[in-house]
Amino acid sequence: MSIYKQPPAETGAIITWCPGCGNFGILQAFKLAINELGIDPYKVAVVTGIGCHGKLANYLAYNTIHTIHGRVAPMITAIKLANKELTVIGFAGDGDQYGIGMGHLPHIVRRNPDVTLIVHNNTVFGLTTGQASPTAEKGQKTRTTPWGQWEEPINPIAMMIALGASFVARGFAGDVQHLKWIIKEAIKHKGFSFIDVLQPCVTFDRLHTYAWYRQRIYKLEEAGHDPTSWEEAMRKAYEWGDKIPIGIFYRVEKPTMEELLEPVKKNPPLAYMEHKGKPIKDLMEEKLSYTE
Amino acid sequence: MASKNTIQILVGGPAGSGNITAGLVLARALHREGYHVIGVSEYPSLIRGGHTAYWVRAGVEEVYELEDKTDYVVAFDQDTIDKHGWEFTEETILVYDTKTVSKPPSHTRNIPFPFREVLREYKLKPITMNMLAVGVVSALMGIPLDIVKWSIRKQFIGKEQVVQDNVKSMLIGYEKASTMKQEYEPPRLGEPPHRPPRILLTGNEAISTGFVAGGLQFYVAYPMTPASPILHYMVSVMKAKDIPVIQAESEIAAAQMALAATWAGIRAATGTSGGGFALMNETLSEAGMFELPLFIVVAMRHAPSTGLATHNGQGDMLYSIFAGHGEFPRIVAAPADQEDAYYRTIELLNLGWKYRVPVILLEDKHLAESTRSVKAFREDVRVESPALIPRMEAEKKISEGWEYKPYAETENCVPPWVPPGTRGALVKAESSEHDERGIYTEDSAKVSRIFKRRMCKEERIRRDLEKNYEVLRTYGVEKGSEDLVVLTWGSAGWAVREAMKHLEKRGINTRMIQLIYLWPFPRNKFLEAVGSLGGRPLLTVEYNYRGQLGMLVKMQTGLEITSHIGKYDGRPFRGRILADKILEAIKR
Repeated sequence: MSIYKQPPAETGAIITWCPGCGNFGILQAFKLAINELGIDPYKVAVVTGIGCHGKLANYLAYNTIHTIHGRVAPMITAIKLANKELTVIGFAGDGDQYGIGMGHLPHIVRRNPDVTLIVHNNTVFGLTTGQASPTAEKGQKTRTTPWGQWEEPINPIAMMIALGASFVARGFAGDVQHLKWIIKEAIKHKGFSFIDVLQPCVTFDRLHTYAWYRQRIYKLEEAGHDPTSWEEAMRKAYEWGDKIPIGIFYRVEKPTMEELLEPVKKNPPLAYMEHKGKPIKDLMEEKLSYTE
Repeated sequence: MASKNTIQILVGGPAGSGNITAGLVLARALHREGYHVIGVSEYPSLIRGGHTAYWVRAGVEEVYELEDKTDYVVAFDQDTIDKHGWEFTEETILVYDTKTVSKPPSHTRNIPFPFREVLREYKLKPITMNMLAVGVVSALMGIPLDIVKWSIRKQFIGKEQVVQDNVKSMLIGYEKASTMKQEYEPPRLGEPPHRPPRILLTGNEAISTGFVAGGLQFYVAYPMTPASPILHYMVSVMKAKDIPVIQAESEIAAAQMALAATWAGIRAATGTSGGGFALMNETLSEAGMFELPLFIVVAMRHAPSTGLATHNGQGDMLYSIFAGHGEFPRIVAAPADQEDAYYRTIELLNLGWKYRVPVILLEDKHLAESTRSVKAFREDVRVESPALIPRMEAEKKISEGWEYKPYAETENCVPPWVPPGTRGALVKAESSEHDERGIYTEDSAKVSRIFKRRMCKEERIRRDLEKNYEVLRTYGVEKGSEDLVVLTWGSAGWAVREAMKHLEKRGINTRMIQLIYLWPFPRNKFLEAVGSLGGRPLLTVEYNYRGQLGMLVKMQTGLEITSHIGKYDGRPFRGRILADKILEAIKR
């Protein structure tokens, strides 16, 4: 067995993912997508959560926040509010987003900020050494399910379509070109875009290997899927097992947070405005019983 | 007619009866006349029914807190008599609803009033019943009619029909009282002392107004009593003042949004009470690691747990100072009153962006929701963010060769921040330990160096606060001539100042120290203020059980507290009752 040398990232940080980790494919696809879209790197803001995926923040020469566990969604919402000029991308893990951070998903959908959320879905908690995540399949053996998982898994795609997300897609970390295309479409989409990425964990998930996925996946766009149909999207979302669809399940145009919140809509990016106070004489008169 | 220095009014009734509105209208009218005014509410955690009470105390002299005797009582229910009867005297004038009050006390000066019959007789809107009472009390107290009308107009601003309906009822009440035959003279206040401009407001309104004057650019919160009125206020000014507001899905989300927006380079804040603050703790620690000025208003209420959701408490002082895992610098300030709350809000917004540290504005329910007449606020306040380099300026520096590092070692321990989106700057915030660029590291030397640099802000902030900010206030007699020193903070200071009036009459010289900046604890300024005690008692008065300020003082200075006078039933002290407790404590 040859000795694995951890590669450096463009920031100088050493990439500490396991050799063959699905995260490499996601990292590569994302950087290619930003490059091909011609977005200036300094105008990109990335938020990552806690877990193996979270290290991505250190490997990207973009502005980043590596936040606490499960809280990527509220952060990317607020960054877009504060600076609508930035391209804002969140990366979360399956434990991060569908476990501890689940409660934020309906609300980012309701607000519909023009941001993208990419969930690295590898069915386990990798960095804490292989416990079952909310997407572990029934019967899947992990450190915390030695006799096979007894809980039902979450279906992220069906859930996000049901919530009314305006862009819902699934990618595969083993197909960088296809994932890059999805990410580009997601960034170009006006409003909240969501991508669940099937990401083999080569160390802790013996079931969902690259080969396992490759035998099963097929591309929705090659199968004549109509992503504007909610019913069609929902039907495809429940397809799992021998055939697993990847691609864009659903997309629809809705007004964004930046259009709906008047102070954000009518002003330049708040982050570029001078810190200065506003008059309060009118408030004292209207609200505070000002006496002359 | 003998005029009084202060007058206290109580309007009690079931929730939804409008008694709090009646109290507010009277408070505002007295404020308009030029008196010192405070208004205090007590209400249960429900929407309809139950018993609510609103006290107004007005004075020719400054009034800080309620007293144990009430001059005018309006009772819309029997509970007003049963629960608050202890504050009635032979001179108390009691206006009560003949339909709902079956057992009025016999020792008070009673005015039975058939509110419902009068409503019917004059075809008044039932909802304006409370204004009949306002009319009666205003007439007895001799408040000019145009001033009462002004107050009603302010209460229902922008709703002309509602104003007219309420004024109509008030006038009937006013007329009825003016024609009543009296065997006694109703108490009235002496000449009002004030020159305008003045305002009447709660602590929450002061903080919200401070946010506007202090250049806040985003407010985000999850509803929680008693912090919710800040959210309501900020929403009400969102369009006029161009400040976006989001109601978050949880306090965790609220804190995360405020922190992320701060990262983006704007002034953002959130507000909550103890339970919500608990949910924000992980983010507070994260802000400590990011070195970003997450701004949290902690509006304390009675705790632990859900506690008394609508009542007062000061149990979260030490919690605010030490909340969040790990060690990191922060600033905690507890404004002294409604006027102070405005200026401290602006000060904290500035301090956060001066040192790049999280800041906590700590208020209690009594300050948050009690109203007070104060001098109108100055608008010429300083708004400055020394640690933030605006984008254009940063881009110029970078083009001239500056290498931007968000966690650089600097002479003053504070690395400058630039808004992400600045060309040439890589702006990284890493919740793990990191190097100067914000890249994760486990290297022992690097971790030690950055940890030390982060912590070194604490001592610098302490020195800056002591030198350049009003970290505490002292009241009472000259240092050295006191019989005792009382330490207090937040709204507990109001009752102490009222108690001091009583103690003075009994020949006791008191000196009171009101702490405002609690962390970093202003050790030197504090010890200087206390001076040489020479065996004289050092008391704490706080709305908690343990005497948390005393614990903090002992920890920071080694000074022993003689005795703690605490209150933990959710209600404020009354001046004379506190004076008795202080006397008892110093006799021991």
